[in-house]
Amino acid sequence: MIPMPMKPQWFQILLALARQPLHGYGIQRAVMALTDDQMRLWPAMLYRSLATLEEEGLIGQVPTPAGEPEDERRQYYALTDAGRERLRQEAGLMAQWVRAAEAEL
Amino acid sequence: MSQGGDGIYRALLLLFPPGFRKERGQEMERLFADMRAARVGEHGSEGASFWLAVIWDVVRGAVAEWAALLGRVTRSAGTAAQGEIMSVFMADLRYAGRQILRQPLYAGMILVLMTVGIAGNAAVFRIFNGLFLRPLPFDEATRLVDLDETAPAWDLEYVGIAYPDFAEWRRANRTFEGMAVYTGGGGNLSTGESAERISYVQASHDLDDVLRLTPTLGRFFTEAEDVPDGPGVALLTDGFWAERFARDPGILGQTLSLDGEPLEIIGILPPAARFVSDAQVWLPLQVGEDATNGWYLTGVGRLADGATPEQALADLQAIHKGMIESRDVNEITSPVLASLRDRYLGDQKLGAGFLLAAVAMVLLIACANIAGLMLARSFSRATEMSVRLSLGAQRSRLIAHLLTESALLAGLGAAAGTAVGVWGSGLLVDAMTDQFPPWVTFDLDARFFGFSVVVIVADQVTKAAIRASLHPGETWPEGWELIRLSHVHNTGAAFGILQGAGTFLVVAPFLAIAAITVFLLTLPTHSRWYSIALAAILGGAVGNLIDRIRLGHVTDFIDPTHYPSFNLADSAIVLGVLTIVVLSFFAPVEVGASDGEPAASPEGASDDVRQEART
Repeated sequence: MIPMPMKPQWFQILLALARQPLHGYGIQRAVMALTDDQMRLWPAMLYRSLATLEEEGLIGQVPTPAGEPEDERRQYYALTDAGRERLRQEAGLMAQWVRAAEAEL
Repeated sequence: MSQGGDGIYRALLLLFPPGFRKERGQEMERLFADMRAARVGEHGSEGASFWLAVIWDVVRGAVAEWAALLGRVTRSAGTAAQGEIMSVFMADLRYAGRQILRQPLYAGMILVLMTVGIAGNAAVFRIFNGLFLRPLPFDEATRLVDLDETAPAWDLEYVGIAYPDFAEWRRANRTFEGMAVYTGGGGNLSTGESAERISYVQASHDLDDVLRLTPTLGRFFTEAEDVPDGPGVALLTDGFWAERFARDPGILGQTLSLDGEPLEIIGILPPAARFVSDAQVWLPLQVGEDATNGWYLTGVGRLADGATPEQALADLQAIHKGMIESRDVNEITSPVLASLRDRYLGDQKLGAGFLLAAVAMVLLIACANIAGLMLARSFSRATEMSVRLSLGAQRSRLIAHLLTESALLAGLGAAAGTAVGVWGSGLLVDAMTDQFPPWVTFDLDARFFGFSVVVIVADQVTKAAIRASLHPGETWPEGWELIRLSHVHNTGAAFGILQGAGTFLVVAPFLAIAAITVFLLTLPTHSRWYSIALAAILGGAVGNLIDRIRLGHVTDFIDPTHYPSFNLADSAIVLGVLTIVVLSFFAPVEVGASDGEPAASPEGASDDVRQEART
């Protein structure tokens, strides 16, 4: 089981996949964009995270979407229903923290 | 360069457990290639910081994956909790980091020494590898020979081939599968809106067959096009096609204008065509057999299956003699042939060998200095060790600490050395590319380093396992008479010889490595088995050296009871040396082996020829 809250890189990967299935490089660029270039996922970090998330059933491997070039070294990943639900919970938890922080500051 | 970088990354991925590598390795390589391309596109080159980040990412990820794997294995055996090994290891790593930071001068000196030594070697090996060890990019390249004519009477070793001579050789020979000639030139190319100065190759129509080049698009010249005043047709080289036409497949059939002459583009050459020239465009030679414009062509021939260079040379000389008798022309020159590589690199081989030996010496000196530093430091830490022992620390834990510490230092030094080496040799190659034929590529051969690393890791892991499970002097299984595992401290060399020779044995392996490297360079063949054997010796030497520097002795554990104990590193060294010895007995005589002889024999032959021509 992945403890709550999850590691930041896992959260960003799930978030990157929320819109559409992506391959490794696509995820990496999407996370860069989401984090304003703050989080660069190097290959080992990214693929170890993908392995964990896949094991936990939060993401899955999907065939190359229509219209994208076929390349067996570019495996696409997509969010599962469980993954989407978990992402919602994580975001809910964070929203709660932010509200608490804003009330104090 | 681009293949080299990907090769390095592939080698780095060997650090991961095989299961993870199999499942994600290809995708990681692909992601790495994409990131690298983006980085190069942005900054012009990767830069050392990119490589350091990549290496750090891989090392950290690989350590975590192995720890997770070991954790799963031990948990399923019901012995230890998953986190324990990891946390012990992380504690060791933190402890090692603190030790290093506490003595920044000491650590800094070791890092600088290692960086200089490894970078120099990586850089020079990369260049040497590009020149002499990598095979030429052609199918059955060992059968290719350089053809030329020699004219001792004019005091010229190589004068080039005259087309009528070539035409006769090609028609009458019985020892070649094919032969072709080409020459180069330059002109103004215009494509409608712009014009530029380019260089071109003019080749006879069979050059593609001889080199076994298949155009990536379209076709090569036909025999009918390779005649005087033939049609204006051209092939583009791969690089020019990519650079000027963005690999547009629609380019076939379009027309270029070279010095005002229209040329129809009929094909695109494969990248290997760079061997011939770095020209942008290839044209048919279109010279007639009655040409009288002298000796200016470069020739290349493919020997028939089973034909030796000596037979081929005799064949050509006989044909040439017949020509002189029947036509009374060209009695000054006579044919010569040499291996392609020797023809263009023969003179540079000795120099490159000396350079490699010189940097090997630099690494040797660096390592001797590191050994001295570590020795001096081990005295100052003797108190620390005895205090910790008397406080109840396990000996194995202390060894693990020291191993982690040196592994961390070695890892940092190797990473910095490789990064600086790749970067530095890039500069070096840029500075001297003019001096080498265009087909020479400088890529690090990942297989060589990968194999050395595999030997070192296997050696160190087995030794660590023995140290952890058997006390010194203990054997397992008890009572086995033929062969068994024993934990033996060996202060001598392989198989227990030279007991107690001490620091000499720290320096000796480097002398051995240097000697073997030089020996290897003097061999005429460029077989990958030599590389593998050298890598095994290198890995074995480093494996035992790590023990000597770290522990002051080598851990031996394979104990054939009636014979001195040894370990995996010894085995690698012995197998490597045996391989080289065996190869040097059975190595096939390559075209390259005829280095000096043809240079001498054509002179003798042409003397004969001239005498006969006079009579």
